Amino acid sequence: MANLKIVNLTVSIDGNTILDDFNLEINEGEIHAIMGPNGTGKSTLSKVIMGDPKYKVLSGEIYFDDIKINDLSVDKRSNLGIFLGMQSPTEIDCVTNADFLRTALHSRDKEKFSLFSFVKNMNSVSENLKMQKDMANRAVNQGFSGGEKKKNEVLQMYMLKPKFILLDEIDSGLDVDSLNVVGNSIMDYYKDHKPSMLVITHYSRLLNYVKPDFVHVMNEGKIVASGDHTLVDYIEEHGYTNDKRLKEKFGCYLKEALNNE
Amino acid sequence: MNKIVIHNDEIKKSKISEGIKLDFILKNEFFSINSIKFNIYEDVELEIDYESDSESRLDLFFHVHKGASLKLFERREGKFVKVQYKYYVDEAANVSSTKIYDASGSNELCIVNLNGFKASFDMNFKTIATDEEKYTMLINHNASKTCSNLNISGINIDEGSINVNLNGVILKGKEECMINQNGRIITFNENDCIIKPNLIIEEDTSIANHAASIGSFSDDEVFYLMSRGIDYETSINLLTKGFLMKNLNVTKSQEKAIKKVISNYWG
Repeated sequence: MANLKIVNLTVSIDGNTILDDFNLEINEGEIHAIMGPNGTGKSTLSKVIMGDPKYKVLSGEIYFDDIKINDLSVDKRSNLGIFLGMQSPTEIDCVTNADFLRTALHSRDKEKFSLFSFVKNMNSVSENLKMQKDMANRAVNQGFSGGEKKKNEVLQMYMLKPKFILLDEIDSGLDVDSLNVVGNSIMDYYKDHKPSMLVITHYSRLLNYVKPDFVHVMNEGKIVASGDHTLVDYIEEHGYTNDKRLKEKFGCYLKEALNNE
Repeated sequence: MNKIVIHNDEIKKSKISEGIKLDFILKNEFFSINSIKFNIYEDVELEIDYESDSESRLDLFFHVHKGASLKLFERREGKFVKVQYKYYVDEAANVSSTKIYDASGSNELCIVNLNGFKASFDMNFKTIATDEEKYTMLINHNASKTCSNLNISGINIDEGSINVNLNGVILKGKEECMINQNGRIITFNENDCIIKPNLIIEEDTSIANHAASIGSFSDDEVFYLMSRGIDYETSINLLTKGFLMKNLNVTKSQEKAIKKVISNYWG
């Protein structure tokens, strides 16, 4: 099971409200995509679901598998099976990738952790992602190119085997070949494990690989339109500028969008 | 491997090869502190284990002769120690020093004289401060094309405080010298820590870099680790161990010794 339900969520940072009475429900195995102009709260949403303490939840609830996770620490959310592939993965210059992932898996699996399986799995996934062989012994994301960082996020996803995946602009900074590798790897994981997914992106190119069941458009901290893949085509053609027309055409998919009308 | 074990201000054990001449000078009416002098004539590796169970003072002199190379590994633990280092590095000679300290209090003065053309000095210094620690370093680039690299990493816990004074001097006429100073202190208490990087450079052909930071690990680093299921305490331990083990060029046994020191605090 991997259901995420966000109810009337209002979030601020440094006194500025970023998410405003936000609602979203993602059921088991569903892929949802969120698009929207810069600064509308898409990345904030992903960080808040993951539990970044920088953001203050003013009201509302987040449920994961019917458990309210508002007060759970970041690591506990991760251990429930939530994974965030970040837009700008943090560079940690003093911890190697291998140490990092080994610690993560050991923390979660405890005595079930097998070093042999870990090494074998890491080598295999790195190879599939066409990552450099010395990657395991390099500091986490330090000196990685934009593409390497995103591949490293996908590598971690494979190693941790989450059941709910948040991908925040995982396609940014990727060249065509890397996008192909990353996009296909995400979908291969989906086919094997059937996680629920929330994909945040600006462009349709990632959604050619990761096919969403639902597409939402965010603006000013809430979802203003929802639809199927045709909404992506509409955005590609018209952009976000004609907000009223967007709502007229796609807003009816969403209860709260209708309420706002 | 050449090795000496110093207990308080005396040599307890020593195993020294032909490439090193060792003199121990006891304090007398002229010298109020015991001194150990090392003359290095060829490429050698040397380990110094420094243990103290009472407050101690000691002077250490290293003269690395023309073309020779000293790879030094120092491990220090115990009570308050006050040490004065003097390095004399001749033409095309090199000192590469790695130090890990776990002493309850230190006061150290280190003077490096890069006296010969293309002489170089590299130091990678790690300390776990549980009490007041003060380090003053003076690097004199007395010849052209000399190079110094200082990497200072401190972890400040319990009653610890770290005060680092880094001074690099390149006078006019000492051409194409290079100075790098990099200091970072991670604090786990409210005590004052200071890094003062001073560069006194008269020569236009010099290259100098310095960086200094004092604070805790960044929230983003901790969030990133925790987002992969690692709890807060383990995340901090991982970052701390990584910080102290970073950029070490040591043997397996030396690495083991460093890990043992770290494990006293961070499991």
